[in-house]
Amino acid sequence: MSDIHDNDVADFAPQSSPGDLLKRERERQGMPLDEVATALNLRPAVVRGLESDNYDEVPVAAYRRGYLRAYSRLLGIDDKPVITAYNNRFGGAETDRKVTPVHVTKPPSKLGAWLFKLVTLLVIVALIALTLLWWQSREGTDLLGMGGGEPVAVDTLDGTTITEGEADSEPLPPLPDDESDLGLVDDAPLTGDDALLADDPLLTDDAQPSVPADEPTGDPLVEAPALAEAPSEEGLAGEATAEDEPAVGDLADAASAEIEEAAAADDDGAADPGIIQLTFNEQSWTEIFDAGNQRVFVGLQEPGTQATVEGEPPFRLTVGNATGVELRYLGDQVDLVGYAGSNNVARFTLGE
Amino acid sequence: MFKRLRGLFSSDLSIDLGTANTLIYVRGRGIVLDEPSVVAIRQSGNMRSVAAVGVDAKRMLGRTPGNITAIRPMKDGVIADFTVTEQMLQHFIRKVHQSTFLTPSPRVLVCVPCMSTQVERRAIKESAEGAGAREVFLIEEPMAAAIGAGLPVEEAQGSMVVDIGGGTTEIAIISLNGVVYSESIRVGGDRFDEAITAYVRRHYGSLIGEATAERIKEEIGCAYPGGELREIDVRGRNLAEGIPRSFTLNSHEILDALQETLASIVTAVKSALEQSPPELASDIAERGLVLTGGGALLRDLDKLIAEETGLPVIVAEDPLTCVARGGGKALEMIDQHTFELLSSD
Repeated sequence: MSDIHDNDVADFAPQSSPGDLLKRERERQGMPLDEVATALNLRPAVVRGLESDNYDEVPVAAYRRGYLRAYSRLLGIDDKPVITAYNNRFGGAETDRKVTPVHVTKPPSKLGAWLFKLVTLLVIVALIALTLLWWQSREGTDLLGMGGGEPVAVDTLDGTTITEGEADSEPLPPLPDDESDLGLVDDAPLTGDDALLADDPLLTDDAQPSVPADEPTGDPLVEAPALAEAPSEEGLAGEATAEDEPAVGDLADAASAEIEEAAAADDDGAADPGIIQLTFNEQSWTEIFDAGNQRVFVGLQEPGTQATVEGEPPFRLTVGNATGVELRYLGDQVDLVGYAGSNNVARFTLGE
Repeated sequence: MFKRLRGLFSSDLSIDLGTANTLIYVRGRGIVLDEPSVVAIRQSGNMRSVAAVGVDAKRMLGRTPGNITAIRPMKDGVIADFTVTEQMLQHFIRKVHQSTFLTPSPRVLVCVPCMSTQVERRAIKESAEGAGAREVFLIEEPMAAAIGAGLPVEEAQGSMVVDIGGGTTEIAIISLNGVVYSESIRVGGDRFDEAITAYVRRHYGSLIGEATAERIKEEIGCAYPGGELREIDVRGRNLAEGIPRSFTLNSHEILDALQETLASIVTAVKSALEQSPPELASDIAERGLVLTGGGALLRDLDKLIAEETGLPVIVAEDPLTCVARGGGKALEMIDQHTFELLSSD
């Protein structure tokens, strides 16, 4: 039976008002209005209002719908068409009222939230990218530093020094160097052959500033050691050389004079506060930072190697196995042992 | 701080953490989750892991092997098993945030029974926090239900709402965004099911499970005599013979079974009306009371209450989701500084 009514209602739904639907159904069932009011516990005026689509008595939408549903069920009909009819006719105004407060906050906040999310994501991505870049660049310079440092320390050292002294690089100086070792000890305040080695080109340079030729460089050096050689063989070392000097004659004088000049000149040259000269007699791990906190030199150095480090003073040095390393700075030998701690690692700052 | 960041990628939620069903309303999206509050726990050695949550877990209720237990972590509207509730909430919160790659950390509004104790509220709050909520607001269920039903809670007019949930029935009279009177009785849909189970055992000597009892209630349950007679075929284990037997129940029997439970609800409603201040009582008498919650779907329950109280009774639209929707509306209002709706700790 209710099915038939459903169909009836559905037929009327589009054009009928909810009140019409209910009233027609009630009259069809022959139910007096008062009876409906009693059954629903509503005042007859309210029921009458429902039937005539006049909702003055029921200001709250939730109750209106509730009453309409209760009324429909009381009549034994499906409440959906009635509510649909009600929504079609009165729903618009009502939903407006209901949604307004929600609507005010939602759209801007939603858009804002999206923007905010997007911006946050972008910022995070940018930060990550920057971090990666920084990391990569840091790694890169590290490698560069290593790559540049090692050859400087071992191989290209002489070359760079010579370039610095504006002299051609040459394989000659080391050779006489070793031999001249003993002979030079007295004249120059140098104890290490490496220091000399580094000095030699400068020395020759300054001695003959106009001619940066190889031959003159070689000559005095070769001669001086040659002179000193004989006494050194006898184990007389410094004294012997001193004694010999007058005896060797002009050449030797000239040589020693040159050497003295060279030493002075060397001092001038080494007086560049941006250069540190290192000689490794034993294996040592050394690290040097310059004023810009730039690592200008790092690495494990093999015994018998030398290094010249250029940079901006002051330098911060860490020299391992300090007793096996000689360091010249501003032309002076720096006493590393004085800086070394109990573990024989010297940590100090040069050129402050 | 990180929670706050994750919060940017989470939507505000309103959770109706009910004994029977948990509903989640997502701000701007509406109700997105409606699942039974059931968790299946798998026990392997000393390790307990969640086997299933929600619908899947409910299907397991009463059908689990020894190493799986299907639990309903909420009982009588409050938390019975703290950790399981937390895991369930976590699961649900993740589920409604599917697209996010970060663990969501939303602001959450949770509905609590109005008569729940401080301890129970704290438990719910902490459970939601444990599930990843950045901020937890609590709202009393009848208030949320009234908002969800569209009652004019902010007006100086009395509105009465009866929310019959799974575990509790909340009755409240609300005016000016506040609860004037509230009563919570631990009678709800579950109690209907239990009553039906007991009735079947007593009259048919057969044992039926929770799920079957619920099905009987939904299909033929009614609260007021006079409707058409409905019947249902059910199978239960016969206690005497020990084997499953099939038998037929009709709606009158169920009405009989539910009598006691219904009476307690009616009594509570009447007592609420007795306690209400006269002005509000007259408002309620004029407009009537509103039924929400799953219990409102019990056939002719409105008729029964109307008959008993002599007041107009209306069933809210979509009563199952009233509380969640109301919570959602309250959530929208949080930013409009309407904090008076929210209950403190």
